[in-house]
Order: sequence, then C-alpha cells, then structure tokens
Amino acid sequence: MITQPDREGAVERFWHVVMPRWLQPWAPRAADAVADGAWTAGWPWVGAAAPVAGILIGVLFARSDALRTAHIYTVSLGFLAVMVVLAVLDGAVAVAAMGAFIVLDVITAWSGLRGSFRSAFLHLPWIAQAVRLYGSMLVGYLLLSMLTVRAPLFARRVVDEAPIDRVVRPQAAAAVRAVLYGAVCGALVWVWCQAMIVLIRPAFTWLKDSPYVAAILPVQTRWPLLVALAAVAGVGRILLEEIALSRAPRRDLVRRLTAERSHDAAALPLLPVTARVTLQAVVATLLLAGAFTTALDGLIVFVLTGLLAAWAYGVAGRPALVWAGIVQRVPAVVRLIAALALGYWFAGNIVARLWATQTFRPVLFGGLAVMTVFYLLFPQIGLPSGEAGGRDAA
Amino acid sequence: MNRWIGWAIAGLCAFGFMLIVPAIALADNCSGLADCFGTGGAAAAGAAGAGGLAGGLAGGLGSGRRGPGRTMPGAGSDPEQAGGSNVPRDAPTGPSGPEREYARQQREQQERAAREAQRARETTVKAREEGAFEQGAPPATGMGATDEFHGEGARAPGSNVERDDDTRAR
Repeated sequence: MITQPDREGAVERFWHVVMPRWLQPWAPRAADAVADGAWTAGWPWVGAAAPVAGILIGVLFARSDALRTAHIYTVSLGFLAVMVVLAVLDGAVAVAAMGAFIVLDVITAWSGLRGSFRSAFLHLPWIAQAVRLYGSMLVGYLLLSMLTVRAPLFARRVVDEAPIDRVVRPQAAAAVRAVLYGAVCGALVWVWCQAMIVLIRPAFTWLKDSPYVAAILPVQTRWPLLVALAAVAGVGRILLEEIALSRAPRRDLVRRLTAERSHDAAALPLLPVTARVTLQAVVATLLLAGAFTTALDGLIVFVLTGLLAAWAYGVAGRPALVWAGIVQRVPAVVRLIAALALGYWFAGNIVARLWATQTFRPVLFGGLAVMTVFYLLFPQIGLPSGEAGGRDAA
Repeated sequence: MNRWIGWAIAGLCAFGFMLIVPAIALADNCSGLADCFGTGGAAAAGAAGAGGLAGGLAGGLGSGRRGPGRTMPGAGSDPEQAGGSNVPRDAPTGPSGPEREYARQQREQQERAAREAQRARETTVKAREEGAFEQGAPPATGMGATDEFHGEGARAPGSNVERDDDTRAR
C-alpha cells in the first residue's frame, strides 16, 4: 500500500518520482536513472538540491573555454571525470548535468564551431551542413548517455542479480555488494573508453574534418583515472545508500519514494517489441558509425542488430525461449565476464586476420562479434516475478 | 552457489589482467586504424569496447529490468512495500506470443515449486504434530523442523544451516 507523501519530501518526490513519471514514455532509461537518486533524500536538502547542482554543473561545463568551441566533450578530462562520478553516485544529478550540457551545447554549437569548419564542409548545401553537424552531435550525446545512464543501471542489475545474500553473512553483504558494484562500474567505464577511441570519429569526419589528438587522448591514455574514479565512486555509493536506508534521518522517505517509483515503473506501458527492435537497430547503427568505411557497413550493422534484438526479445520462437531459460539461470556478473572475455578473444582473432586492410573494418567486425556474444548471453525476454534471482529471491 | 562466486572472482581477476594486457597506443589523430590503435591488442580492446557498447549497454544490459525501488536495500524485497508490484521492469504490458509462452512456462515452473514447498510444509507440520503426540519423536521430513528438533548443538561446524535460517528470517 502506497501512502501519500507528506509535505516534508515534496521536492524530493518531484525529482525522483514525478520527473521519472514524465520521462518514462519518452526515455524510460533516463527515467530509471533520475529515480536512482532517491537515496539522497535520506538527508534534509541533499535530495532536493542535488539535481539543481547537477544542472549548474552542466551549464558551467557547456560555457567553459575547453568545451564551448570543441567538436566533442572528450577534450575535457575534467568533464568526463565529473560525469563518471556523478553517474555512479546519483543518476538524477548525472541526467540533470547531461541535460543542461546538451541543451546549451546544441544552442551554441553553430556559433561555437563556425570558426573551425573546413572549406569542404562550408561548400555543402546548408541542409547537408545542418544534418551532418547535428547528426554528429547526436552520436556524441548517445555515446555520453551510455556512460551516464546505461552503465550505472546495468551495474545495478548485475549487483542485484548476484546471489550475495545467499553466500555471505548479512554483516558482510553490504561490503561485498559495494566492491562488486565498484568493479562492474570500473569495467563498464573501461569498455566505454575503449569504444570511444574510434566511435567519436563522426564528430569530425561528418564535418569533413579529421579527429585531433586532444579529443582522443583522454579516453585513449587517461582511462585508468576514469576507471579508478568509477570504482571508488561505486563502492562509496553502495555504502552511502546502506547508511541512507538504515541510519539517515529521513530513511522512511527514501523507502516511500522508491516504493512509489517501483509501482510507477511496473505500471507504465512499454513500446511494442517491433518498435524496441527497430530502435535498438537504429541506436546501434548510430553508435558504431565511427567504424564505418562505406554505407554498406551501416546496412550490415542495422540488419544484424535487428536480427539479434529480435532473437533477444524472443521473436524467433521456441529456440530463443529455451536458450533464454538456460542462460538466465547464470548470474549476470558471470555472464558479463564471459561476454567480455569471449568477445575480446573473438575480436583479437578478427583484428589479427584483417589488420592488413588498414581500414576500420577489423574493429567493426570484431565489435559485431562481441555484440553478438552480448545479445546471446543477455536475452531480453521478460522474466516473471522472482525469477530474476538476487536479493528478491533470497 | 559458492562455485558461481568462485568463478566470478576468477573471472574478475582474469578481466583485471586483460585490462593491463592491451598496449596503450600513443595518441594520434585516429585518422586510420594504425593511427588510432597502434597495436592489434589495442584494436581488439577497441572492438571489444565498441561491441560491448552496442550490444551490451545499448542492448539488453542497460535495461533496468526492475525498477530502482527494487534495487534499494530493504526497499523492494517486500512486494507489499513496493506498492504491491512484483512485476519486472521489462515485463511487457502487452507481451508478444513467445514472451507470453515463456512467461507461462516460468509461471508453471514456479507454481510447481510452490506446490512442492507447500506439500513439504504440510508434511512437516503433520510429522511434528504426530511427534508431539508420541512424546517428542523427530519429524520425518522438513529441514526447519529437523533443525528445531536437533537444536543448535546438532549443527555441524561450518554448516550453512544457520545462514539459511538468517536468510529465511530476513
């Protein structure tokens, strides 16, 4: 039974329940991320003020000298570091910062970048210029959302599905959960950094330009710092959350907000499977655009992703259902490690065979092999209640 | 289940090793494959990252299968507390045929397990009643009842019986 919130937590309820309810039909994952910050409501002012602080952080970075005239946000290691920490600690703050940054970046993009456009780009018709500029920015924002929205949500899923409560004593469960969350966050930030080296290329190539070193360097050579920050923030997040629910002055408010959001998330309808499959194919094609050599590569990615997503949602029928039943018995953390290890091995073989082409196809085809492994090991067929394992099953 | 944890720890160690192995290429402007990665190992890591991003985060992994309330310690384990909702986050409200079929199979499996558990409980209660009637004879079946009859001292050192009890208590 959900009780009506009192006036005391009205602002926190707006951020962590009402706002996700608005976002849910358009961006369900962003809605989950915003609701993720409900634990900060355990202390007066923190839950209410944190998203506002996130907006200010986004505005400050968008107006900073480093980013105002940059093709892509990866030029600023500080921006990446702050976004990693915010995303792991509090999804609401991260989404607020990202949203504010994107809005200002879109508004000022044309004036900020005009001085750096190459003549080949300026000779294009204005409509082509607009499509290429805002298209390349869209790819960049999609990549950023993988870091700030998707990665922490997945890390949470891995931790929740791990049977920690069944194998360690209750006193140690929080610590084990914290270490596991930190490790998974670190691994996902590593994945993101490795991918960004090549996937940010559309920010330059679509503008008839070449990528420059300053944009590649932070993700190519400074990733250990980002991985370490994610791991430390992950450990801190889980421990703080435990305190918020056990000792914080307003722990009842936290429980009430999370219960209300849980009810909303389960009640609101999702897109039909065909729409979800198409959307995933489009997003994957845009994400991998940096590794395309010709348009045919894009078509291959679109078709393959569509087929894999259809399989993962169970459209292929009984074989997919049987397979999903088997793999979903294995904890997500084990599947993640298997997917990364197998994928890395496959990718290494493909890159070694195709290295002589000196195009980005080795990376693209290696990436497709890894993607296939992930889709096979993480089917998306809805699980009935209690089947997901983890804490609930315990 | 300890075996899974062991494998997970071993896997994490292997993954940590893998993080160190790919040689970091010298930063260049990434206008070509060799510029971008320098070595095959770095390119393989890039491919793994790209595939992980497209297949993992953009695909199924990023989906918060359950609402965030259910992930909070103590906040979602009780369906009543979570607003009576025990529906997984990604469970479609209008499921397709295969999804419906899969959900049906899983539901049947759960119902079977619940029936067996209920039967075991009934047997335990019956045995306990008979045992009490026959002046303290131990029950025939039922883990909990056995523990109760044998008492704390009967637990083997390192036994997980106590942990199971803790879990049930939660």
